[in-house]
Amino acid sequence: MLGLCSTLMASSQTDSVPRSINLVLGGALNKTSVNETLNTSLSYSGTTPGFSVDFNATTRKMYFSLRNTYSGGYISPYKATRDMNNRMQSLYVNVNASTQWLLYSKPENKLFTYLGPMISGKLGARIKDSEVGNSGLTYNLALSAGVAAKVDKYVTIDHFFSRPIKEQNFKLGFEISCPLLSKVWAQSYAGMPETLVQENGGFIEKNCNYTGYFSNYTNIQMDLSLAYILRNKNAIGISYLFDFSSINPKVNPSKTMNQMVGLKLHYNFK
Amino acid sequence: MKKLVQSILIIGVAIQFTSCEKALLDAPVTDKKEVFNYLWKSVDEKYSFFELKNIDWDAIHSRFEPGISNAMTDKQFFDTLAVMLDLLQDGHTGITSPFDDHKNSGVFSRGPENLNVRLIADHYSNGWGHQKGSLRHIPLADGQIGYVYYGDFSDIVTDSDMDYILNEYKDTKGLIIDIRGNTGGSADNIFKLAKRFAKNRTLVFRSVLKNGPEHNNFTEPTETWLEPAANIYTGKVCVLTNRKVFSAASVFTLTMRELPNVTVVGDTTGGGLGLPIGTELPNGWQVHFSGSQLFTPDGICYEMGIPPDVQVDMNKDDENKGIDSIIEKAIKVILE
Repeated sequence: MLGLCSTLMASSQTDSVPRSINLVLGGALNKTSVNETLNTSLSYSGTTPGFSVDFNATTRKMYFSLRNTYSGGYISPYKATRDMNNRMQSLYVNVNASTQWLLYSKPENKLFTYLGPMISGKLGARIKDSEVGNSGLTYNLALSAGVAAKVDKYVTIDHFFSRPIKEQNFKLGFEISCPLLSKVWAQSYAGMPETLVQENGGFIEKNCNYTGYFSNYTNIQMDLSLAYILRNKNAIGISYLFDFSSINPKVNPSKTMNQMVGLKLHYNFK
Repeated sequence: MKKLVQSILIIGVAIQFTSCEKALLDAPVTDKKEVFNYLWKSVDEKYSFFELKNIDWDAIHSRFEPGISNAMTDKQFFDTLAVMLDLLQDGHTGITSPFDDHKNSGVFSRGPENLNVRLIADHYSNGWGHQKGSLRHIPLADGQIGYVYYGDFSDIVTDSDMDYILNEYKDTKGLIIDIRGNTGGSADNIFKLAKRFAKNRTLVFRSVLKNGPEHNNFTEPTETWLEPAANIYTGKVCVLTNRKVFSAASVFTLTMRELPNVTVVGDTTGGGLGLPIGTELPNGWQVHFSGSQLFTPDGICYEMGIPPDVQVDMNKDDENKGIDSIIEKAIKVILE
């Protein structure tokens, strides 16, 4: 990916798009909300720590992005009473890659919009400290292909409160991605695999999967970011990730929402 | 342009701070009738032994539902649900609340205890005997037989434990595997043990899972085969059972009884051949019950207990003399 981007960067000779090759490291807090029908009839919610390792590159006409977002921790029943000690561990993994082409730009306003295909892999797993081991795990895994779109706006301000700023910019970004076709793994009707009582049998039912379209696997991911670009072209930013999934297999549908607020450090190789 | 930027900012902030999860999540339910009906329906749609046990679950609903009201205390409500679940006669059934934990006793009490650990310690193993991992073992009948006690399938059995035991007793005429009082645990240990006694690849049981809301909705049977280990014991083997042999221990018994060199001696097991699934009630209490069925290659489901090949109960007179009638019978089976 780095090599490909370097080649494309070499061919771009215009200043219309601020070019960059960024490694972005972030720490975050993730608000996870889960409403599922297997093993838990309660809704669960909680804030868990997370981190992200992203790579992105912007060329004259293209934008590449590879994002890896993880979070894990305990979540509790939504609006539970104090004595309800039903907490469970939640794990969230979101890997997303996209290639987007410059669709519309207004260089004089430093506004650039992109559109292109994306692929993603998402895992949500809930692990309950249950006395009944084989009812302590719920999960959903989706591998998807779809579309992504992005808007970047560069803003130059000359004062930050009363303090003057020279040669520095803010970059405001908004990206949305949506799967069109997915393979979704969820749990069986009973919540356990048929191989559970076989040698080396696990809790994952590999055969319990379905092909997801927008109607039976709805996933919308939105990212809002604001980066303060330093003089050396590196940046410090804040970001907000909104990831909603509605998973509708034949049995045991679930809805999950992850809202992640993070602080990100952008290291620009360019 | 300014408007666009402002709009994006406003949307972003709004998404974060106007709690989206309100639209997605439900608060716990306190209405007892609703909780009762949720439990009844969950069991109705996912419990696996209604037909085998000839349980009229609709009649049970009619019997209990009128008595449920919000005037009940949580304790009264919990006890009522526990009584209803007890009617499933299934040791894999239970209910847990922040203040109480009720487990169905299944069929444990339908037979004598048939195990006196103190007697074994005093008269057979001279204390606790030897131990390798979770396996206690001693030679019996002047070293002609090895005796192995495995009391909990939750305790891991390793390949090295089994290699040691098999090497220790490789020259004996037979092995006694005593699992009396073993109420189950991990399915992995079933195969770690059993494959050491299989000379050939053997079909040991079939299993089905609930896959729909009707009482007879099950998946097609999945066959489970036992693959022989590289290092196996080829002598006679007796597995000792009693009514407390339950769940994974019963599955082990189901597995071993398919091997030609194995004889099951003692009392009928406690069954438990439906693996438990759990669910949470809308008030946060948790329940579990059987959601599958295991049956023999011939199609028999021994959910209420696997009968032994040789039925023997502990004899009180023998017990008073320091004799374990079941161990003695196993010794005879091996030496005859």
